[in-house]
Parts: sequence; structure tokens; C-alpha cells
Amino acid sequence: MLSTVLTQLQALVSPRFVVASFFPMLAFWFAHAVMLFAVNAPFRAFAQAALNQPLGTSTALVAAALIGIAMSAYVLAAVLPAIQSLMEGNWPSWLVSIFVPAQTRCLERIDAKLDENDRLRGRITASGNAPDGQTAAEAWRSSLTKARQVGAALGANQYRSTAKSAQTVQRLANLRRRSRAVSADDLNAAVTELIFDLRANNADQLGPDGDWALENTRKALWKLIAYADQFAAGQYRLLLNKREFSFGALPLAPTRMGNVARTIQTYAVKRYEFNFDLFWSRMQRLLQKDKDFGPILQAAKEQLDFLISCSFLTFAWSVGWSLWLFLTSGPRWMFLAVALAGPMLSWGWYRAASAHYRTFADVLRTSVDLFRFDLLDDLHFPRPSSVKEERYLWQTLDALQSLGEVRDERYVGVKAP
Amino acid sequence: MTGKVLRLWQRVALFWSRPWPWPFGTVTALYAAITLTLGFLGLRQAPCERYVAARILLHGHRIVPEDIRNPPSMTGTSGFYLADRKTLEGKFVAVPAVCKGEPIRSSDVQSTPDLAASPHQRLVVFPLGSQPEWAHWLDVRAIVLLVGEDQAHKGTETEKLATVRAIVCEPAKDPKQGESCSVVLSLQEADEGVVSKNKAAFRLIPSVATQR
Repeated sequence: MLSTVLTQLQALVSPRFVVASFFPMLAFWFAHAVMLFAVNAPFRAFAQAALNQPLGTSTALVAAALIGIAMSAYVLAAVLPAIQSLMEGNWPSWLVSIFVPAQTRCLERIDAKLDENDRLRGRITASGNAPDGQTAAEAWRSSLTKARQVGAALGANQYRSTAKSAQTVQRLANLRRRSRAVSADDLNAAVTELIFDLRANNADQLGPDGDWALENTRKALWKLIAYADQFAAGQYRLLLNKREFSFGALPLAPTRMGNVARTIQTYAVKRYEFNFDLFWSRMQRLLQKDKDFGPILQAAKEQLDFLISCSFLTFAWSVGWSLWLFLTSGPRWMFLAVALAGPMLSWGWYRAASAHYRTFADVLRTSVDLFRFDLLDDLHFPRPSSVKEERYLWQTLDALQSLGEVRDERYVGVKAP
Repeated sequence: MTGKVLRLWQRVALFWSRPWPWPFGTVTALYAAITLTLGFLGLRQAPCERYVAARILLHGHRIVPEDIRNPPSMTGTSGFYLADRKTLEGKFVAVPAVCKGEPIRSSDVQSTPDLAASPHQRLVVFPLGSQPEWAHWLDVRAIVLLVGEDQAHKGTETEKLATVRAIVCEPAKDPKQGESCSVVLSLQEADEGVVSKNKAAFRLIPSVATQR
């Protein structure tokens, strides 16, 4: 019965409303009912009696409940943009200044990893220890080879596997076993230590313990250098994408979602001088008309709204019940469970929404790439013939629209009166 | 001394001037600390809301819906933190009495009645098949009259006095008929045989003075 009503409801209203507002609201009220069932004896008796009611009565009860839920879902749909704006960190400036350092730290961590990556993969300049044009990896390998050649001229090998350099290399090998990054500083220290040992011992001879400890350590370090180089190469694009898709232009927003949201505008401006915030509403008409791209955008927005609704409603449910349980001296375990698990669950929804926002932001960036010329056609402006011409055109339109500057630009495709 | 104070002040000023690096972590830790403190210091292990007696309930009385009501507190009136009424309804009072308005604890009731017979007294279960309304009107300690024809002496109507020791009910086989109840009566040893043999012929008449 319920599924029939839901199917009919879905046919009557937009799928976005059903998915993004109605279902979360249904779950929200169901969660309230579960709590009431647990703590309120009359409601418990009512619910048990309702389940045993004849079909007509139970249908009327379900219908009344669904109408109530639908009405509250409409309210939620109306306030959803405001909730999203809050989650994007559009807060008073004093609050922003308190919370933004957490995001700044995230950005700085990515920047530090990128710097570390550069040091491993980048070329060492004249100010470094290696000749110009050599990468750090090449310079280390070269130093090890030279040191080995110097040691080979000696007649003895006193190197043991307990030597400091061997232990350092062993520690780095353990990092590789755990698929962890090996830093340039660690490698540099290991190379420096081993160079001393290679110069003082002949790696072509057996050591005092009757093993090839020195040569084995050199080979292990050689492989570690290759590993660090490959690891850094793999990480580079990953880190760069993370930075580009997680943080827009400065100043940063105080929340993860806010920063992801800003990447769209940053990308559009950086790539085309396209003021996304200004032209987005004008582009929506074009996107909705497109039978391939429209549904993709719609689905991405639906999922995002669903996650935002779930996060907000979980938080609201948790706050409401925590206050009620505390003010009415409810059971301690229930208060602690609701007050601690509720916000955690809400935060989980928020993290899922933030992750999904990246997908949504990517869809929006793609929409800029694909539909900006259609927008120009729609606005009756000529399509540019080069990148620079396009950037100038969008700058001009931005100035016309948002700054109110009068700049002359030729119209095309307008029929003469 | 002044230099030390100045340096200390500079360090404090430097500490407060830099942005706090873990704002979300700090807010989370504070929230968790406040919640745990409030939970452990401000709330009880389990809520103490209990139904209260709507009238005096004597030992052995079988609790019916009219015997209990919600407690007068704000949450109690609206039914919060109360157990199901079913946990009390149908149970028997185990304590000497529960006064009107007093809370009924789970330890105050038991699932079975106390049916220990005193010397020279016998207990007889008297089904209320044709008189189900008495299950509602009678109470423990009520004195009743059993009136009927003794099969051994046909044509003569016999009367026996008895005291209600308990009223026991069980769901009827047909759910529409509600409960099927019986009265456990305490009789003189000499009357037991007559009553037991003529249960179907006897009618139960409550003594007016003992009715509620």
C-alpha cells in the first residue's frame, strides 16, 4: 500500500523532491516515531493498536502521516539552499576566522606534500650538491656509484649488517613494505651514511660475517630510490588534483564543502575568465534542455541534496532529542547515545555530501567547458576564435553584467526589425 | 621582575594572536566533555516514572486498567518513560496494600496470586462463565454467597458463604470474547464438597457490604 502511494507520489511530483526532501523527511519522522515508541507508553500502545487496525483505518492513518510528511518535506525543500549555504561556510566573519585555520592546515599539508614531491622529482639546481640538470634520484645513484668505485680500490671489507647505514636502509625498506612514502630527507641521510661506508669498504669482498651486507644494502637503497621516485610520480597528479578539486582561490572557506564549492568558480575564472556565479542561472536553461547532460546534472544535484538533507535532519533529530531527554531527565544511556552518536552520524552524512560535492563540482566544471559557447549563442554574442579572445569576451560580459560598465560588443544572430 | 612579566605577557599575546589550529577538534572535544558530564552528573541511570494507584489496591488484587493512572509529573502525565501498562495489568498486588496515588513498583506486583489456605478452609475455583461482570465488580476479601440446588437433595436450595481470595483470568479461545475469568473462593472445609460437586448449579451473589 505504502509503495503504491509512494509510486503515485513520485509520478505527481519531481523525482528531485521525492529523493532529496521526501525520503529524508520520511526517515526523519520515522526516527522520531522510533524514539517515541521507546520512551512514550501511550504512543507505544497507539502504534501497537494501529498495526492491528482494519485496512480502512490503517490506510487513513498512513495517508494522514504521508500528507504531514509531504508538507514538512516541502518546507525542507524550501530551506535546503540555506542549509547548503551554511554547510558551505557562509558564516559571520568572526566565526569564519575561528574555523578557517583548520582548512588552511589541510591546504598547507597538501602544499607540503607537493613540495616534498618536487624535491624528489624536481631537478637540483646549481645551488644544490649535484650538477645542473640532474634529478635528486640521479644524483644519489651517481654518488653511490662513485663511492663504490672508491671503496673497490681498497683491500678490505669490515662492513656488518649492524652498521648504522644498514639499519637506516632497513627502516626505509619497512616504509616501502607498508606502501608509505619515502621522503627526500630520509633518502638523503641514508645515501650520505652509505657513501661513507662504501668509500671505506670494498663492496666486492665478503664482509667479516661472511656475507654481502654492504652490497646488499647498496642494492636495497638503489631500489628504494627508484621506489621513492615512482611513488612521487604517482602521487604528483593525485596531489595536484586533490588541491585543485578541494580548494578554490584564496581566501579559503571555513568548511570542506565550502572550499569544494569555490573550486567551480576558481576553475571557470582561471580557465576562461568566466564568472560562473553570475552566468550559472543563465546556463541552467541550456543544461536542462540537453537530453544527455541534463539528467546527469539532475542526478548529481539530487544525490547531493539527499545527503545534505540527511545530514541536517540527523543533526536536528539529535539536537531535539538530546535537549528533550536532558530537560525531562530521561534515561542516561539514551541521552548519551543520542547526543554522541547523532552528531557523529550527521558528520558522516556531511562527509559523504562533501565527497559527493566533488563529483557535482566536476559536473559543473564540465558544463562550463561544454556549454559556454551555447550560452554565448543564447546571449547573441559571437563565438571567439582563440583562447585569448574568449577570455577577453567573458571579461567584457562580466564587466557589462556585474559592474555595469558599458563596453561595446557586436551582437550576432539577431534578426533586424 | 618587570622583564619577566613582560616576556610572559608577550608569550600569552603571541599564543592568542595566532589562529587556533584545531577549531573543529576543540569544539568536538568540548561538546563530548559537556555531554558526558551532563549525562553522568545530571541524569539518572534509568528514569523513575511509575504508574500510580487510582484507588487503594489490596494484597492479592488483580490489577485492571482502571486501577492505574499516569504519574502527575510533566513527563509522567504525557506518558514519557513509563513502562507498558501491560506490565501491571493482570498482575496481582504482592504487598499488603498500595494506597491511592502511590507509585506502583514492579516489586509490588506478582504474576500469580497467593493462595495459601488457612486451617479449616478450602479453596475452590469457581468459573464465572455465566456471570463475567463479577470479575470487574468483585475484589479480594469480598464475601459472596453461593446459591444453588444441591444435587444430593433435589428441590432444596442451598446457600454457602465464601470469601474471594483471588480473581484469575485468561484470554478466551475466541479473541472477540475477551477474557474468561474464575474466582478463587475460600470456603469452610465442610462446604467444599457441596460446592465442588454443584459448581454448575450454583450462582454467585456478592454481599452488598463487601462490594467496592
